[in-house]
Amino acid sequence: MTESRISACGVTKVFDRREARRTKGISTEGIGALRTLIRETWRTAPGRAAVAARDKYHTWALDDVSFEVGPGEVLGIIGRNGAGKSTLLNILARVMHPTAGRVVIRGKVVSMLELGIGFAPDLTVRQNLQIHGRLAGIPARRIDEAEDEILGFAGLSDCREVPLAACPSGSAVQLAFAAVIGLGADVILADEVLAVGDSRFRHACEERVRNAGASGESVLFVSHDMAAIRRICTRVLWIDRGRIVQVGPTDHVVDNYMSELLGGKLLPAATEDVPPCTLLDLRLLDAERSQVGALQLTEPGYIDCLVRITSPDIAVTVEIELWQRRLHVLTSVAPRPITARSPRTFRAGMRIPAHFLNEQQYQARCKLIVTSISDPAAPPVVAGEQRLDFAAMNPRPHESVWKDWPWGRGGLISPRLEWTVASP
Amino acid sequence: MTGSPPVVVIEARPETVSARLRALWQYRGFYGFLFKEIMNRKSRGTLLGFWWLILRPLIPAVGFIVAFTVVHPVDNGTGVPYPIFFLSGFIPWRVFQSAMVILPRTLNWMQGIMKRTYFPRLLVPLAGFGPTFIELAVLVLVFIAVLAPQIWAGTPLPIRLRWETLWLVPALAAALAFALAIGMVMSVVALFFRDVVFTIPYVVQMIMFVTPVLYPVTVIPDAYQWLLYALNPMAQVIEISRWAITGSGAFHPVYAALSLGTILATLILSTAFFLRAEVHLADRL
Repeated sequence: MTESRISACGVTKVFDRREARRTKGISTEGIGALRTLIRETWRTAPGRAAVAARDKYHTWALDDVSFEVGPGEVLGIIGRNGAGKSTLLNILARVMHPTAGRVVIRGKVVSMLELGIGFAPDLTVRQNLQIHGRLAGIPARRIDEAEDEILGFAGLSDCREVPLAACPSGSAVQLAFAAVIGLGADVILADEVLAVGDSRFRHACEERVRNAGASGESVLFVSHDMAAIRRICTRVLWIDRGRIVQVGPTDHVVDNYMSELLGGKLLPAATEDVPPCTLLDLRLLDAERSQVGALQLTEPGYIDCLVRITSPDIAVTVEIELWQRRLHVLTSVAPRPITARSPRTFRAGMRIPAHFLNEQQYQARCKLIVTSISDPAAPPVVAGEQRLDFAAMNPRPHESVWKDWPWGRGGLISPRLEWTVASP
Repeated sequence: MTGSPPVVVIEARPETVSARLRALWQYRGFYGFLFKEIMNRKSRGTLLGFWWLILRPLIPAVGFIVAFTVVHPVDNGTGVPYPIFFLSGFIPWRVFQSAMVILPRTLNWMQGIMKRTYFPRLLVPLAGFGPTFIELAVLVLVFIAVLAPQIWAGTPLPIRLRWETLWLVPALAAALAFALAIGMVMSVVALFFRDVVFTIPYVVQMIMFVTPVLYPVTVIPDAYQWLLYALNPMAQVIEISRWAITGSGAFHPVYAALSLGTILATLILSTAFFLRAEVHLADRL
């Protein structure tokens, strides 16, 4: 009998938001959060009080999640935006601490969350690889041995002595990924990162992850990209609102998930008050309207939200903002509010034209603004808010903005504008 | 793969202190990395960069020496020349001050890394000592420079090197330990209120004036000296160092034991707090 690589038992994570309130413009959030920290620090029996609390001040990001991953298995983790997928990955990577439960991981873990830690743009590719390996606790001799293979996989064999800053932007991710794979691991925690990099590299990564089974590595793959999940996973775990909905063969679970999601059946539990409207999910779609993890700039894409409306008395306006780190890029509001005579689920999507965004990381923030039809004087209420991080990238490396300009091209957006050049 | 693979157990119950301390050793590879990151961070965006680390202790050291020997000469009542008298107390003080200014910021600086990977968080404040060690080295060089004319001329030095001089080591260690104890707690608090980062330098500067760094402890009436030693553990640390170097400080075994005991107790308490709190830090990053 083979031992499982990861066995998680009753993993629970509760965020205490009890005192995250603001008084009169001054943010007192810090006081409450600090008090919570001190309370948690003092408690010897961990999380007893928190586990008991199921009120609106506690967010149950993970609720009694148990699963096993065997050697050579590629387990996909799917679920809506905010279902608890990244919290789970964070706990397995030991960045976050569970409120309750126990996880045993046998073998060396590498997490894609840590991609590129310790990379210095002014050092050469080879030096960066050395530093990365040393942080991972790998002897210099073994790094030297693996160097050729890693650089070959990353497609950086020619750039060995070139500073990382002078390589195309995807290089850092490609190098980091290749290093993680090449330096040996038993358990790989991967997320959307497989969606970035150029297309040749993405294929190589998927191929590599799919072959992980043969070499006995276990992979945990969190993604919104259902096509990628279908391609590489042997089994899928579907979580919703912190609980496991289904575990099983890939196609079966993904089909169920898709039909439930689009059918709008994912509703708050019956015991809770049914709110007049809910933001079920916020997704990124490609030109064929299938869910992906990164936006291809050469094609249009969609920011898509699923809205469930149960009250006939409300009009719901969908508003989507795009942010780049702390910079507000744009706000777009649906032209007409949505109303429903009977409970229904709507899809509201905002189209992002091709060659519009820049090659950067973005965050979409979606808000539902609810106004009452019977009482037009009542102030509008913000009902649901969700955030979605995604990368925008150019799948054709030879067209990438990073190709000829090693310093990249700055800017919040990068549309193709018309130019005229004339001599006066 | 060689050897048995490592087994990681993640549990809600906090790990034991000994397991944490073992992890510190296991992840020692991160220490050098964090050390370098903090050093870079310290000089980021400045024109002089690394040279600031040298200038920062140099400016007050030269400033105070000039102020109290040339501008307004003071008699420190011990017969030791003022520059030597001053530096023998200022070196441990500056070690304390510089660590107190940097340590509370370190967790804030390293947030990005802490959000992405696991390592014992205690390494962060420990790596924050980097700039402090450089300031210490600079001040030692200043001290030698002050003695240089006498060494050159072969005249008797105003310092007394003897076995008791070794007390310098516990004195410096106590200054570092006290700064670490306060700095660890403050670095956690600074994640919630960055205000402490801006407040602490002023508070430390004020504490300096109630610590016998610029003046001999004898300017305080004998009846109140116990109060100074009881409230300010750094006072006795400074005096130990001065006594170790020049042989003329007010070293009292009772007060020394009290001060070093206070510092040790503070260090143990705040380490316990930090080890307990570190697992929850990621929730707030």
